[in-house]
Amino acid sequence: MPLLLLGKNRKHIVSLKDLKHVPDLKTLINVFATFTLTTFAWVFFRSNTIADAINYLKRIIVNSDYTSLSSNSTMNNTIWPLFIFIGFFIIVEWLNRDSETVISRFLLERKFMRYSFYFLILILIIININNEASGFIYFQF
Amino acid sequence: MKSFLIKIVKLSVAFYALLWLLQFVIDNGLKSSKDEMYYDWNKIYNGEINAEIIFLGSSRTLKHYDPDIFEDKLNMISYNLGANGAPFDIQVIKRKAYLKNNKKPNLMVLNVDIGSLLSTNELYKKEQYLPYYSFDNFKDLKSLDENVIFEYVFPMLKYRDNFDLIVLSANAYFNTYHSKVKTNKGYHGSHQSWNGEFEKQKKELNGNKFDYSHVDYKDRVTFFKKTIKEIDDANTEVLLVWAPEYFERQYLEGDMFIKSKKMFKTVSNEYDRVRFIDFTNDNICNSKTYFYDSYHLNKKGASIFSSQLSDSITKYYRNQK
Repeated sequence: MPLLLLGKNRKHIVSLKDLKHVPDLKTLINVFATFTLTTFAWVFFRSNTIADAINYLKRIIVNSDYTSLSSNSTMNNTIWPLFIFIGFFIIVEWLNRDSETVISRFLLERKFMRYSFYFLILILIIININNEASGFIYFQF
Repeated sequence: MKSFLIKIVKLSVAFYALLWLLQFVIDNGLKSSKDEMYYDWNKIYNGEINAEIIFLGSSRTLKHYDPDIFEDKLNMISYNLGANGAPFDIQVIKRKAYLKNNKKPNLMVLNVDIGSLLSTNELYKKEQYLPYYSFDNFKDLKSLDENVIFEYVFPMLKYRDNFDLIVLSANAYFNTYHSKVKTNKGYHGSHQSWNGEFEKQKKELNGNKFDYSHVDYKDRVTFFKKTIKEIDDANTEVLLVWAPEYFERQYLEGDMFIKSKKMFKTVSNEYDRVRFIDFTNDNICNSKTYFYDSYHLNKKGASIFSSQLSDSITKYYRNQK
């Protein structure tokens, strides 16, 4: 808010095209810090109370197992494949930062790679469809 | 527009074929996996068991029948095909796969109880069946899970939400990680002592007995009779065994316990090759020492029971000869 009131909130905006292909450490830290602070701020907007928000953040930071998600009312879900997917999408996003679509000029010029990319996306969609059979069923026998 | 449609069709066909190819690769990886989940299935489908006595049933089979004891006492190759969460309608999948790929056993021991009679509309641990989807088991799998039909038609759909299996398949190709097999010839004995779950269960029941009102008993009996007829038609000797249950549990099972036992006896009388042995009156049922819960024997109890059943088999089949 102070930055907004002082008119300095758009001071650090740069053209994405100006960024190097491989980001330097400073850029990487800046991007990561902005993303983290923004998403942490969202937690406060989405929570019912401030206490809930603090609890959410506490669970993110203090956790016995960072590769799974669970709550008192849900089963334990392994999320390590999610890290791979997030990493993949961050790379795709970065490579296409100056493009309006995910199909950059690089892919447009390479037919085989473009179709391989489509196929990969198709596989990711299929294997991420929710499967109710993976749920927990308790049997007496 | 026409060229666009042609392109879409071509692309769809190519992707569809590629998905089948990918699924084939993953299936084959799992079929060669030494992971606990696929260990017995792979042996069954590779025809590597060929036992003279097989034990079929639910977790009560898995935990109760120790093949080593049967082999020692009967001098016959034995294998336990019991599985958690497997009433009669699920057992049929394993039984058919076994009989198709292995030598016909001399004796099939079928553990019977109320749990085995219950129906299920979901495949417990469905992932164990995924690499072995085929025309042979399509009908049986479909009758238990309506999604199976789509999984047969759309390649890779069966691996949705099962990324771990894809990794497991890759591990099988590179011979890296797989979970250690805890069973011995299919048997998974438990070293646990009485765990007190039954006391909690009794407290929840608050003086009432188990409620089986949701069970379509007539339908379940019909299914069981059909199962026995199928096995008998294949000229296989069948021994129906009601394994020990803790005596207090038997009381809580009420009328269902009595009428089911009577039904199993009646069905066995209808066939020359089918016999029924009831262990629910055995002394073993009176002591918590031999159980880890009211329905499952621990290793100590399973050893005694397996030994007693071996003696009964010797007696029955010696008399027959």
